Amino acid sequence: MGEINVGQSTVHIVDSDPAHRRDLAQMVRQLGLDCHPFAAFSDLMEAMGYLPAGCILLAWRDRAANEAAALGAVVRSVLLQRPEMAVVIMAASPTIADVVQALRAGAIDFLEIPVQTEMLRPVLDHGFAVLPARVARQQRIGQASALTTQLTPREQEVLRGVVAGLTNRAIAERLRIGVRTVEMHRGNIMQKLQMDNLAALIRFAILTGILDHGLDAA
Amino acid sequence: MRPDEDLRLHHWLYISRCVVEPAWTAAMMDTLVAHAKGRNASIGLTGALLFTGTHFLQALEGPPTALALMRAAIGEDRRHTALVTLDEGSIPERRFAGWSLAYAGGSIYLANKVRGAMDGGAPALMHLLETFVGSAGLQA
Repeated sequence: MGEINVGQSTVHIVDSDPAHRRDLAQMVRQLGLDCHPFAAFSDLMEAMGYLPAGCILLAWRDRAANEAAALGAVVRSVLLQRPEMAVVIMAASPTIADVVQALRAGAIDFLEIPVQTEMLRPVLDHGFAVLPARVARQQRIGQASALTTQLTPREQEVLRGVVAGLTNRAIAERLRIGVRTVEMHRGNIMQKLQMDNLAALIRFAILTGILDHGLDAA
Repeated sequence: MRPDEDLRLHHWLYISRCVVEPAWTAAMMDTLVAHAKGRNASIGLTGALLFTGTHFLQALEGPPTALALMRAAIGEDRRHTALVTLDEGSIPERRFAGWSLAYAGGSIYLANKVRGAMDGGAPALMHLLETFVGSAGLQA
């Protein structure tokens, strides 16, 4: 993963309704923020790779055809590509299920359409307040993932064992290698990942999602 | 004591304002949730907690004695203030399968919903909690 483009005052707008999109863009600019309007969700997704990090105001207008669950899928598809983006879903007369789906999927907030400036301002303040930490986290994950690729498959197995809380002996038995060999791998892992203590290693493992892969029957 | 004493169920829904500094709320929630999960399970309380960054909304249900003890403890908790009971009393059956954290985050929309529903909005807030924890269909 490369450097994240940190344009922390950019608001990406996705709304198929031209009038509401134009009003939103005007409000955003009046708040002194940059604005990228998109007419379709697919346009946003195409541009996603090179958009500056910022807030995404995403209008959800086809609820009639879709369950609230589809709203969650839309939010997740954005965050899968750009986890640092602060996603805000906009909908006309949303149901509680809509709001819950959006927030559970990782949207940071919700707005009712038509959006008014007095509602937009605090929500964008919220978005840009959480954005720096989200960008920093993604950069740490990017760096950590790059380091992980330097580990051999065997070292990655040992790392998962360590993170699962297994003793060197248990790891050795599981992998059918000697305890001394496990110790050697652990030393190499710490060196390659530039860590000097177990706590740092565990934080690293949580960050990179090594824990998510789990360890069968650990 | 009546023979059915332990079978009765009471519930309590309240809102309160957090007095912990924003910088410390994430750590506070970690501690609070870890502690509450085990304790509530051990005394038969189920429910859900929602935290908007400024306000708590919690539904609790279970045996009257356990709930009364918990209400007293929550009332004395110094992490919040301005506690308002939105709903209470006996209920025919539980709405939550366990106790869990429904939401913790800074959503302005939710914060407004929670504050706005304080007057007579108990059913809407219960529905919100149930939807978050996916227990809306628990009672057929």
